[in-house]
Amino acid sequence: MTIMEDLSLEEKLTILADGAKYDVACTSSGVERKGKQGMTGNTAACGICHSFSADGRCVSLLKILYTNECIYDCKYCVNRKSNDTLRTSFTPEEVCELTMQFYRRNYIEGLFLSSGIRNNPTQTMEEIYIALKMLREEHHFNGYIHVKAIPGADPRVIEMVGYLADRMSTNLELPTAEGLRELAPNKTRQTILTPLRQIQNRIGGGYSGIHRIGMQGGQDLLMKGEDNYTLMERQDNGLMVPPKNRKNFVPAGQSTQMIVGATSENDYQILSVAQALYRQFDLRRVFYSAYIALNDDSDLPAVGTKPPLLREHRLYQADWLLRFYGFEAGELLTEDRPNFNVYLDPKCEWALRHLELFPVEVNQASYAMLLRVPGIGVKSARRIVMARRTVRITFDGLKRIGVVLKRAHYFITCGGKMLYQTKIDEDYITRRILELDHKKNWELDYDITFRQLSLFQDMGMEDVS
Amino acid sequence: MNRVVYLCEDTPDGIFTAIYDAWAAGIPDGQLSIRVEDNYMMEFFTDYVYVQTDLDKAVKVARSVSRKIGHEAYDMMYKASLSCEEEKIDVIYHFLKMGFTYGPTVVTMHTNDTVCRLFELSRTVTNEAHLFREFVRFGESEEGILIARIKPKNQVLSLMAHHFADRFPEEHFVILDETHRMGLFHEKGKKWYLSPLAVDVLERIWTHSQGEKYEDLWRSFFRTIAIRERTNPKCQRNHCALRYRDYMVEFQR
Ligand code: SF4
Repeated sequence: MTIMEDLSLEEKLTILADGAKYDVACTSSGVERKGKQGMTGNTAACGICHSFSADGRCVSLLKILYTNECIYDCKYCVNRKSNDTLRTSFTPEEVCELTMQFYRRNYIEGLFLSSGIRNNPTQTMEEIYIALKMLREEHHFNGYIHVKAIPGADPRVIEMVGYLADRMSTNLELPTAEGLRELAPNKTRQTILTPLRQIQNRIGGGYSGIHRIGMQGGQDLLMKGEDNYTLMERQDNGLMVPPKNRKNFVPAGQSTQMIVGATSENDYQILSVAQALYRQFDLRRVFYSAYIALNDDSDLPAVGTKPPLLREHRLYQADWLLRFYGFEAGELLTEDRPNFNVYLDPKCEWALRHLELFPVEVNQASYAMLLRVPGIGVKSARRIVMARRTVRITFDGLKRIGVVLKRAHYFITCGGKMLYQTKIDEDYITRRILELDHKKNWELDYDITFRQLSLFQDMGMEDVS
Repeated sequence: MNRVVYLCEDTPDGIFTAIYDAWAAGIPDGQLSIRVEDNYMMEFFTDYVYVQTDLDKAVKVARSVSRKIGHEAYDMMYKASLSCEEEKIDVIYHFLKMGFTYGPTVVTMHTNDTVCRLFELSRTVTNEAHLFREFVRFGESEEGILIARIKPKNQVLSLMAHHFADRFPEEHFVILDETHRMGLFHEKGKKWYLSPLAVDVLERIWTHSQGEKYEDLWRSFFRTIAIRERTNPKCQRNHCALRYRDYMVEFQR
């Protein structure tokens, strides 16, 4: 390991940004905080993106490592001990300077501070604490901070950091304990889940990223019921106003990341773990990261293997269905059908396997059922429900509302009629929809229009439809 | 009877004043249009009324809309009035007529043409303002003033003002809108204001120290953060169209 002293700030920035970039989370969402006299910064619940890098991903935060030194040797990681790369570390002053000066120029929403593990987890966490404390208290920074909770660090230090951060994350890395054992010999499921649980308990319950689309009393989501849904406040903008006493501890909640395609886990395992994390650990977000084969290792896909971007994309869509559409992992996939058809979006795939439920009458279907129609997103479903109080909805009206009729028309009727005379037949509709999607999928597969979904999801700009 | 065209200043106050006057004059719908005076071609058989912007009248319109049709309606109408689309005033006018008939429910009439158009106008303006909140870049002058420049289609400055005033209470900052020759000014600890600017004044404010250290650092960071294996310029362009990049540090040089 070559540790470099005397690097310029620019050289350090390059090395430490390079080591941090494979962490996919770059959202600045989840907390609305106004500016204050004497301070710099505010935060927006929807998150704000400031640029788009050459890979098309949103750049919202100054995403850097505190140090890229690491005592561990996780096989999938570019910073692992056994890689022969230049090692360096920031000082707390440097982290503050970069954050403040970039923030003032409106380059960023805040800081995402991750780190390799120098000496031991607790000491690294302490160094991060010192940097963040300086940023908040001496530089009066009031913008967004996302920080890693390092597994194995003393819980007291993690707690102290939690009062300075908006969001914390601990990466699960691999969906199963076996996968982890194989690829991250220094980590265990337990050491990763411990900080997640600790932070969850400190924040208090009820913050999960899963938005109940609220049929009261836990009724079947697919029940008829005219308009008796309750829209939770945060469904609009992702904002939940926390009770006073919890206000300052990790107000934007926790997230985690799983690597997709480094090990042999299937989509069903990945999605079930995500669901469990949302439910049992109240996570706000689970991120999926298509594995990029950079390390030469017999336990991993060969260097240069194409990252499974389309699969990653489907997982994000499915995750979206869990969080906003009232789906369960077990409805989308099963042990017998453990992987998504990468050529269909998961909602479409589900609908095609449940044609007995369709077509639904737009003027009568429950909100929950409307959400399950391919081509109807959250926004359109809400508009339909609102508009049909005053008028009968026609296909023309649906178009104005923003429904993607090309896709939806196989699954709906307006005033008892379908738009075209269409066979309700799985193979037929599948073929037609595949034709619609063909171009898009091709582009995705070849990575031409791949969009980092997280941004759009957080901003509520894109519906899976 | 001749057609009547009201010509007004292209600002929310000017537009609301025109609406007030036209309303008070009771001109039948078919004969009335309200246009922005700047780019209007005169026609025959038309009476022209030049509207004198009057803050009191504008406020009256704003108030009665908020009270009778609701805040959401007012908000959309205000944003639509910042649009660069010529038809905006007619759309607002028709929307208001509907609003005074149906009350606050008018905003739920998503299948109505006028309501739809107003939504669209308002959404387009809001989106552009949002994008400039993201993409605007400040440089620092020697005196420590943050200065930025944008080239928007719509008049987005007033929609950016609150965000930055709240974010940077301790900074002096200026955002220059070169399309509409307007400046947003914020002095530390004071309220922000908008002011029209002559071209030479705008250029003089803009010539602040370039090529500073943090711009280089930002470019290095920006280059580094992209993952080579995922390179995707088309996607990058979808999210950050070329027209926004004129003054974005990371796309220069
Ligand atoms: S702990 Fe593992 S994943 Fe984290 S920096 Fe070290 S080697 Fe990489």
